[in-house]
Amino acid sequence: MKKQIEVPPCQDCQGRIHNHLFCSLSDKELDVFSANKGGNFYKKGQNIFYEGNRGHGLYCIYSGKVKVHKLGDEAKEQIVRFAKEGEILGYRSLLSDEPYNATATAIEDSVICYVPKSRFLEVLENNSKLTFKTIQLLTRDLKASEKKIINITQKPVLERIAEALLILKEKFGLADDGQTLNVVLTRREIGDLAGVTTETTIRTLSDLNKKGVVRLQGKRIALVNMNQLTHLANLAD
Amino acid sequence: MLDNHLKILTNDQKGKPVFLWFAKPNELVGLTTYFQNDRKYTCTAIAGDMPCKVIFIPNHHFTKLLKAYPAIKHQLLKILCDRITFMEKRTKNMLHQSIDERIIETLLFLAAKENHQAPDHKPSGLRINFSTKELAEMVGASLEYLRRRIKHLKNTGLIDYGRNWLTIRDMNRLRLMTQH
Repeated sequence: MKKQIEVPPCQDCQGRIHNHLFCSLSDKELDVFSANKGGNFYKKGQNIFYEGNRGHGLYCIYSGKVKVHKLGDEAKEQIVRFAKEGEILGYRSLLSDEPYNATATAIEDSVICYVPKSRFLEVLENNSKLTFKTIQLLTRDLKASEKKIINITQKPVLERIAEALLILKEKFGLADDGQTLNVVLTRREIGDLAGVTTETTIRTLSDLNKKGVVRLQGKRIALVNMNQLTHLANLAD
Repeated sequence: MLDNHLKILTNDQKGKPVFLWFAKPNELVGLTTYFQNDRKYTCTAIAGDMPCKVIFIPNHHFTKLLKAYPAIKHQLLKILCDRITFMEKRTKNMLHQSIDERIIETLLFLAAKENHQAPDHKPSGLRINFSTKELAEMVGASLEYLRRRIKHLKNTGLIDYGRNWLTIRDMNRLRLMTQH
């Protein structure tokens, strides 16, 4: 079960400073969020919201990492995106007034704030700049989903897995050694991100390990040869 | 968009076109490029198999329009959410469904979107004004395969089709086919 905990006011949130939407909110607007929000602790593997449920508020990640995924037939999963500290979840459901399109699950212990829908929409309604930034965020999401279609229809498995590793590097960064991905995922989750079966993911990662492109250390993956990995991902831009 | 439809495509690295979505009358295209401030369009918009009328709004006019009518921004939020949902559903279908299931899903989706009730209600159908070539692009199947499958669906009485149109005759049975 999720556990309610005390969270600092939005003004003091370090993650918010890097958030595209909320970095420029006024103190008054932040006060509206702070006065109405709640904080919850989610253990690794716990669901934050479920695909198909109605959204009643906005989730902001105070700390931790989350995967947003859709369940297909025969329990096959598709990871839509990952989110980390300072990022928000569930906003599309609020804006479109539709049920959640995906499920959000903590991939490590996470603290997540919850702002009621009415408060978020109230601030959005009165802040034209925030509306513009929200549109920008949605167009970025749209671009990413279009890119994913191209990858799935056109890119071979090796390219998709190489690109998935680069996406994870972009999202979570590297550890202090400058090589190891700053996130621990199962092979299945990497496959779900790339749109590849778990078996193929294991085989492909093992091949990359043998070729010295990556180094596998249990669930941790070090990107040893970035040039080669970028080349394998066939990224034109 | 004023009438008919536009196909929104992009090219893969080998130059092969990949269908993304289609724009119907009253829809806006080019939003991503405008809001992301991209210098180049990331997609190509081309007229479908029938000519269509499009109004071009230059960037600076669109900016003025947004300033003069802030409510448009709130409508854009909904439009973009719907588009992302469509793209994500397509991705999921591409990953998890067989080509046959994708064909039926596409037909059901288009029927719901076009929502054109046949005037006489006789073939109890929803009409889809797309060519088989366009349907093949949307599904991500070869034209030959798609033609074979829709011919089979016609023979079983589920659909009827002609040049640039297709009518669903038995929506319920089609739905059941995608639900296993």
